[in-house]
Parts: sequence; C-alpha cells; structure tokens
Amino acid sequence: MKVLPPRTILVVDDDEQVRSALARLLGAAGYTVLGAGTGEEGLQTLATHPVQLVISDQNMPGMSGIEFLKSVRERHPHVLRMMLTADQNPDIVVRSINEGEVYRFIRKPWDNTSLRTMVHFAFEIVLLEEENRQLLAIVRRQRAELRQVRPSPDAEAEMVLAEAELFER
Amino acid sequence: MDGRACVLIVDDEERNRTLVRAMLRDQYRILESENGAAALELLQRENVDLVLLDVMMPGMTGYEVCKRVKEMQLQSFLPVLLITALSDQEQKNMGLQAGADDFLAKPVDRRELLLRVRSFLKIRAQDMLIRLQLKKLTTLQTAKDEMLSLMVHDLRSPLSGIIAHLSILIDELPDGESREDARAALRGADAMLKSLEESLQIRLLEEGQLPITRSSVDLGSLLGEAVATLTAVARRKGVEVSTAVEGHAKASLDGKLVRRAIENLLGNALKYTPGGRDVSVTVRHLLDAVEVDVADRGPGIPAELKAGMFEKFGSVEAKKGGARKGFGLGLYLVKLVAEGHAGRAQVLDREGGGAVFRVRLATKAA
Repeated sequence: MKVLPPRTILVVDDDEQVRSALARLLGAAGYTVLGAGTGEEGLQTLATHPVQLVISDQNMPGMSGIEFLKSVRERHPHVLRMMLTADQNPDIVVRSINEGEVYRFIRKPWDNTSLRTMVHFAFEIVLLEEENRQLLAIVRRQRAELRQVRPSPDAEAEMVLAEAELFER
Repeated sequence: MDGRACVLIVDDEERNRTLVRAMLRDQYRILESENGAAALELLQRENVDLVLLDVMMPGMTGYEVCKRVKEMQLQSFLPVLLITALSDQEQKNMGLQAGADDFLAKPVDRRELLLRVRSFLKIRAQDMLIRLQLKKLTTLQTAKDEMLSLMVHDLRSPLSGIIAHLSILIDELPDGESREDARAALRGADAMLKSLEESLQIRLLEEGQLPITRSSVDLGSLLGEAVATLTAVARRKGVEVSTAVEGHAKASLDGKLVRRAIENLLGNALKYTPGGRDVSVTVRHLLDAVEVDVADRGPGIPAELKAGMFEKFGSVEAKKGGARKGFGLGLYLVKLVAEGHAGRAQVLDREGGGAVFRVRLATKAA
C-alpha cells in the first residue's frame, strides 16, 4: 500500500478565530494543521516540525506577516507560502509577492471552498517539487554508481542530471 | 506684552501718530512706524492685531504697504484701516484694490476711530477662534478616520473567522432548525461585514481616495446581480421584486459602486414594504445619464425629511431616534456614488403610496 505523504500546514495569525476556523476547515480535508499566534512562534514551529505550507496573517504583534514570510523563504525555501489578510492596502500585495514570494494572496473574509482548492493545488506543487528532488537524488546516486563501474562519466546520466537541475531552477 | 490688543500706527508725520496714539493708548498697546518699510519689518517681529495706515507717505505709499501686508503669510486675518485726507471715490477704489478693510477720514474722529478699531479687533478675534476650531476639528477628524480604519481592520479578521466557522457548521449540520439557526447567524455576520466595508468605503469616497472607475457595464446584468443578493430577503418577507431596463443596455459607469447603491436602495425598500406588496427597480438609459428608480410600498417620506434623507446618519429613524438597523450610512453612500458620477440622488412620492428613490448617474465624467 502506498503511504500518503505528510501534509502539514502552519497557520500564523494572532486571531484565534481565524486559526481555529482554518484548523477545522483544513483538518476536515485531511491536513495536519499547526497554529502560531506570532511570526516568532511560527519560526520556532518550523524549526521543530516538518511543514509544507504556511498561511500567514500580515498585521500581528511583533514580526509582520511579510517579515515572517521573508524569513521562511530564507530559512525553509521548500515551504510554500500564502498570505491571508484583512489589510486592504495594495502595497501589502506587492510586498508579499516581491519580498515574501508568496504562492497565493488571499483576502479576509475568504471563501471556504476556494481556500480548500487553493490549498489542494499548493500541495500538488509541494508534491511535484518533492518528487523532483527525489528524482534528482536518484540520478545523482546512479551516476555515482556508474562511475564506480566505468571510470568515464556516462553521457546519458550527465544529460539527465543537467535536465533535472534546470527543472529545479 | 500684556493682554491688550496691539495696534500699529504707520504715518510719516509724528504729529498725526501722536494724535492717534493719544486716542487709543488707554485701551491698546501701540506700536509706531514712520514709513512702510519699517512697518513691514516690524510686522515680522511683533504680534500686531490691527494696522492703521496713512495713505500719503514718502517712499512706499499706504496702498503699497497695504498690498504687501495682505500678501504676507499670516496665521489669521489682520485688519488694515487706511487713513486718508482725501474722500474721493478713486482713492477709495485704490485702497480697496490694495485689500484695505476700511477707511478713516482725516481729521480722525475719536469715537469713530475707537468704534472701527473695536469692531475689526472683534472680527480678528472671531477669525482666530474659527481657525483654532477648524484645526481642532481637523485633528479630531483624522483621529476618527484612523480609528475607523483600525476598527474595520480589527473587526474584519475575527469576523472572517466567525463566517468560516458558521459556513463549516452549515455544511456539516443536517437539514433542520439548528442548520437554519446557523444560517441566520451567518446572515448576521455577513450583514456586519457589509456595514464595516460600507463605513470604510464612505470614508474613502469622502476623501476622494476611492475614485469612480468607469467601464462599459451591461445594465441588465448589473441590475440582476444587485437583485440576486436580496432575493432571499424578498422571499422571506413575501415581497415581489420586479425589474426593468429601458434603453440601450450598455453604459459607462462604475459597476461595483452602482451595484452597491442599488443594493442599498433595494434593501431599504424591502425593509419598509409590507409582505404581499411590491417593489420595483427600473433602470433607464437616457441620452447622457442612467436613472435608477427604486420604488417601495412603505409609509413614504414626509416632505420635510426628503431633503435630509441622503445625509450622513440622516435616515428617518435616525431623526426620530428610534431603534433601527444600521446608522443611516446606506443612503449616504448612494449619494456619494451619485455625486461621484456627476449626478444626484433624490426621493419622490410613489403613485398609490410609498416612495421612489431616484439616482441619476451621468454616463460621462464631468
């Protein structure tokens, strides 16, 4: 039987209502949902738990959402990021994209169905990237094995590697 | 410095200055200059409340000095009274052109001088008071606006959580009373959210931060969308809503805002129309404008209240001080939307009872 990959989401919002609503909504869809009330707390959680997606608020005490997402991008580049905010300032959208490199920008109040859909697609991306990383690892390992058998590097394997590296970029 | 007002006397002849000073010194602090340049220089340093200016002076004439004084960037109104031996109209016209506030004829009469000085000092004091109050009001307004933005933002987030929770509940509950309760709660939360958005939109419209963005809008679909949001309300109340579009279907309007205005009018109409009766919404595309009529079968609007209906917090109930949903911002938003489209909003009597709310929207920017 195929084991389902872990699907863990971290919700960072100082509003307990929002955290619990998302935990209910996404928990029911089969995701593991972790919560954090501040960006600092969110970074601690990321350091100790495997997480694939973060959904963050913008206006929070302490670190802002953009600052938090920026740190996530630097420290955990494989974690996909979304912004979920009640802030109407268009500047926040631009900064989320440019500085936080968010996958989606969502305004509060959100629609449950479309949020679920967005999260679903986000995990497809997470899975694809994970698969890509695994394939790349396989190619690298096989190339190393080939070198052991034949001293000259295998041309075909080199090509696959180059392709995979390009793809990852 | 004492508490007395300060009068500056500008005259090249010392005899004249002495004479005027003698008349005023009991009540006012007196400063003197013997020419225009000295007077202007003194005005930069001293806190002068009124200027008595001789017209005939060597160097800068009284007119020139007056003009310069009026051009100075002053915190408040500084009265300038011209003293002239000549009484002909041409002289006065020159003085008026220079911005003088009044004239005194030579020889100066003591009682007249005292009266004029007192009157103009009173005007100056009132002017200063108004400016002070305006400043206070501006500060208060800014504080209010900031507070409102903060409030809207702080409420929108938890409200989003409530709405999401209720939606989950409605999805999971079986049909029945509890599910209906959850639906009712969700409607309440949606209404709260709508009025939050409304107060923010009004603020932005008032500040001109929410400009009217026109695009080609299909009037039929616009009307359909607006009515669709309220069909559930109409059905619950048993009120029939009829719609009609007359004239060319496409018009250049801000679809989002106009739709909001129609929704507000229709919401009101449904609120006041008893069950079993009808509400009609008509959109007419005229030559250079679109006219929207929302006609209800409510109690109608008394003539004396019609003018104030569209003011902020100006709804009938707000005036009566009675209990009411909302704060009278709905119609105010309608008015702002109409004005943004170089149009206007008005209320008329409906034939057979009720009121007609008419919004006229120009299809070209003013």
